[in-house]
Amino acid sequence: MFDVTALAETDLAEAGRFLRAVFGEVENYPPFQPDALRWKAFDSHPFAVAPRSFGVWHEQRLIGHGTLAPLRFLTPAGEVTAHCVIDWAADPNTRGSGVAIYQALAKRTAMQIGIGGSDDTRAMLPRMRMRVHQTIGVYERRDRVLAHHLSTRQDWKTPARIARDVWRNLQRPGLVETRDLTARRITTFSEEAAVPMPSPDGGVCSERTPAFLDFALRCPAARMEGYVFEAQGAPAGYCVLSRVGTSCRIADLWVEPARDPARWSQATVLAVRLAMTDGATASILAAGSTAFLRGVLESQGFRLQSDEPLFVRGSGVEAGSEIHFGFLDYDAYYLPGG
Amino acid sequence: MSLDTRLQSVFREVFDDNSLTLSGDFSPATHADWDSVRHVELLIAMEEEFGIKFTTEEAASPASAAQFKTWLRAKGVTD
Repeated sequence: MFDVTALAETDLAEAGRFLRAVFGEVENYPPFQPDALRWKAFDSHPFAVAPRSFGVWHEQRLIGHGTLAPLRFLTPAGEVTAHCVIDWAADPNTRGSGVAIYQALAKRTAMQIGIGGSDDTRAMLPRMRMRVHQTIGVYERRDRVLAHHLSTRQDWKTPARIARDVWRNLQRPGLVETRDLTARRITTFSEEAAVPMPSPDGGVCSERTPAFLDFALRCPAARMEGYVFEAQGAPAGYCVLSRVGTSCRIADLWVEPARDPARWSQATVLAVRLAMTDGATASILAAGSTAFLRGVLESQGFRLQSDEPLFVRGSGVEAGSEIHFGFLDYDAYYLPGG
Repeated sequence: MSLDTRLQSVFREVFDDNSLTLSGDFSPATHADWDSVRHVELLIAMEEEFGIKFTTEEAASPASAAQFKTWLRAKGVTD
């Protein structure tokens, strides 16, 4: 049937051409540049060996493509291997090559997930035995309203939108004080001692390790920054920021105590302040995958922009259990837009 | 069982329709629910039922019930 094979480095030019053609992207679209494709497929990753990009070929051309973004879920019962399929594309003139890739990749880990996606993707995934497990809230703060609107497409409604956003900013509550929490910029997490990482704490969370975070910091499609949070001189957590155009994403954040809303609010505000140190940043995006995180983000002036479904297939995470995960689990931290 | 009957039975199972009657022009053009997922399910079901393998060339080609029958015959499947 469809022969799904791993891509070689020499295939990346064809992969870039194919992805740009299917998604209608311009020649210099950063996520499909050779360096970004090489990082996704071949850069060292703690959860999966390279290559992680796969294709179906027909007459020396790709007709299907998918890249495995490796994950692990930490559950009360143990660790569950998983992956999210990104850069999933099929030649519209060939039926089934994209489905074949999804099915071939599904065999590689205990669970397969899909997050958001186009209308076509959202309609297709349930047909491939994937079910919606929960949603992830994508939240936004527009701190430089004018700069934000000048960087997006403008029309006759733009002045009204600017007035609305300024009014909203005047209405939102002030940020909490962050005095007892500080942040230190780092270049690699692997050289830091004992930075607290997410733990399931009776629930389910996506695993983070210093090597996993360092992989994200090497992303060539965004300007990445890593920080360690410290409280009373000791590491208390971390955050990863990614900058794409005028948008800065809180790509990942963890702080302890893990269930302390006051501490999480402080960490979130610290991340906001770090994001806004760049004068080109107009808005900040953050992910709220759990009710706890949503509450924290809303209390600090973030507004819900969209709710993206998390599709899952496989076993290991019980239906109904809330998963703590974020932008680093798929491609939301470096895709343009937002 | 004849090839036509076995082919129809595969289509009935994949399309989850016990009343489906297979004609030669049965194709994605005549049946909107023959989408990518169904196409792959059909290929897998036929490989299992008839003990054959489709090539990428065949899997990627425009398909119809008549075309499947031609491929099966070419692979030595007889009535």
